[in-house]
Amino acid sequence: MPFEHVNALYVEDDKLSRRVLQMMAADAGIETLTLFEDSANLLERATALDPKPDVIFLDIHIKPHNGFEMLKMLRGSGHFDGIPIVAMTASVMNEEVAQLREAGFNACLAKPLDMETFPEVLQRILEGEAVWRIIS
Amino acid sequence: MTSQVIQPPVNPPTSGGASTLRTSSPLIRFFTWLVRPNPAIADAETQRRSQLLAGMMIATAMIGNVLIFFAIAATNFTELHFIDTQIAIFGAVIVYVPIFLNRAGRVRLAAQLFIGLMTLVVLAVPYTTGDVPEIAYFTALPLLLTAIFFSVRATIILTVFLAVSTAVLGLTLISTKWFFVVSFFILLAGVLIALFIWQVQYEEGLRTDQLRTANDKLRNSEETLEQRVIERTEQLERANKVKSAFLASMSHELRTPLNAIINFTKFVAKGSMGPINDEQKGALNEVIDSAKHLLSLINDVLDMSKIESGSLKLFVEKVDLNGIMKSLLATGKTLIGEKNIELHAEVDPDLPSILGDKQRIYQVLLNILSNACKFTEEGRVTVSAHRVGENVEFAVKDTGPGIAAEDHELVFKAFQQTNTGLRQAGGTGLGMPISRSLAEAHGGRLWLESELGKGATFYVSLPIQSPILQPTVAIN
Repeated sequence: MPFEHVNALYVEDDKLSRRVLQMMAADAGIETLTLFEDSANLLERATALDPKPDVIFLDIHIKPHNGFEMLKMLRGSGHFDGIPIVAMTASVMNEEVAQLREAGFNACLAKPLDMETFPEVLQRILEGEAVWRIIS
Repeated sequence: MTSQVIQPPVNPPTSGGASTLRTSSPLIRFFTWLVRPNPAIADAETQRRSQLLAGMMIATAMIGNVLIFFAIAATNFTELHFIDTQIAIFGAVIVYVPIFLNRAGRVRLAAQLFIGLMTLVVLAVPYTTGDVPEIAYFTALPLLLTAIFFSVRATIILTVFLAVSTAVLGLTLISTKWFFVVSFFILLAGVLIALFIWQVQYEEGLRTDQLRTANDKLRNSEETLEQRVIERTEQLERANKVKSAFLASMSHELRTPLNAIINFTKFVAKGSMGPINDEQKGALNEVIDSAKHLLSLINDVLDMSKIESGSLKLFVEKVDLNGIMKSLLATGKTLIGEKNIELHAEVDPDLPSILGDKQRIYQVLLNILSNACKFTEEGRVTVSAHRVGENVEFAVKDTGPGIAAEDHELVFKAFQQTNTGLRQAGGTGLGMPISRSLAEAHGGRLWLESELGKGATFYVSLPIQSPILQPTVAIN
């Protein structure tokens, strides 16, 4: 299975959304998926992860630090260089997309996630492609 | 949709004020020309004064000239009436001096000279004739002129001067019995004239004050109005921001639960949570289809809200059309499914990249293609894309039932579906109006050619480099 050695981190406050990604990750055969319920002490907790995640999914509308702030923190630490950070958003205003791109997210996935294409999309993200799926 | 500035109709320029002269008679035009002020005078009031003075002096000159003519003609130089001669000389000769002074622009000096000369004549007449009553007829003139062209004070001064001069004349040269009457008359005339003019000037002053007050009020209300406009605009901008924030949160709230609904159901239907029999699978697939339909409804309604409230924003970049066409044709195969329809492609091998929002362009083309596939039961759907001048023109032609000419515009109206016996299953009625707005937001067009019973062709034309689009990201 292609994602055998892939570890992922997902920061998401909505329980059902966490569960959905969990199911998709399990289906795709990802080795580990760590779930954070909120973004408090994000840097600490994320850096403490072992093994280091190969891809990080961030919910944009979350507290106390929103997706943009989380991105800044993670990139600022230098610990996650080279690791794609993906924005997960249920709201699809184009101004937000422009902001996400400018902020430096590697990719963006819109909720509801598309189960059928998730493995293919994940592959492309891991290969470094900038995937921008705003409307599924 | 991107805001469009609608130009108001340009009013034809109104003709200048010169037309007023053309409507008056030639005689009036001649006199107007005759009393024209010196062009160097800039002040309108001085211009008017100059004209008035010119009119009086020229009239005096004309009368004087006529008098001289009659004097000479009537008497043959033998019985020239002295008094007539004096008046004639004043009117015919001397008055030309102030006339030319006035034309030269020295209005004040001309007026002073005119009044001075007239006063001289008025005093000289009784002096030479030895008869005071004659003076009474003439003193009003210089007094009136002084009141018109100079101040009330000057009028009073001249009144006193004339009254005193007449008194002196009467006492020293002529019979005394009339000079008191005449002096009194002069005093009376002068004072009355001065009062009259003073009253006129006072009222003029009042009126000027009224005008100034009205002007100030106007300026104040103008400023108030402008202030209100600024406030309203700010209100509108705030309201717009609130609307946008509302749309964003609505979007978020409506889509999050669907994430759970669609994906959990898919998981169970797949059998990932335990074995599922065919009947259960079928039922769950219905749930999934309904949820997907609900999702597309939400997307359409949100899009329509954005378009209607003018908050639609495009993510503009260089879009590779070849990639889009590939995805489109692949999706088309899925849309056709089991139907006996042949999907035919006539796509230029080397389509240029165009400036636009990739997602939205795909949305428009997919909308047209899915309509074609949905409405056609069997036959062929042709997808084409060619460069046409500065645009790229896409077309989707189907062999479906077609659309009657009278229904063509209905297709693009929100919430309408045509009545040609076909109800699109699960249609929102919003797809076409949204697609058209999206095409137009790109500076392009979306139109249809169809006849009832002969299939339909939907065209989309998008400019390669539309001037109305600003790239959202730097083009690399």
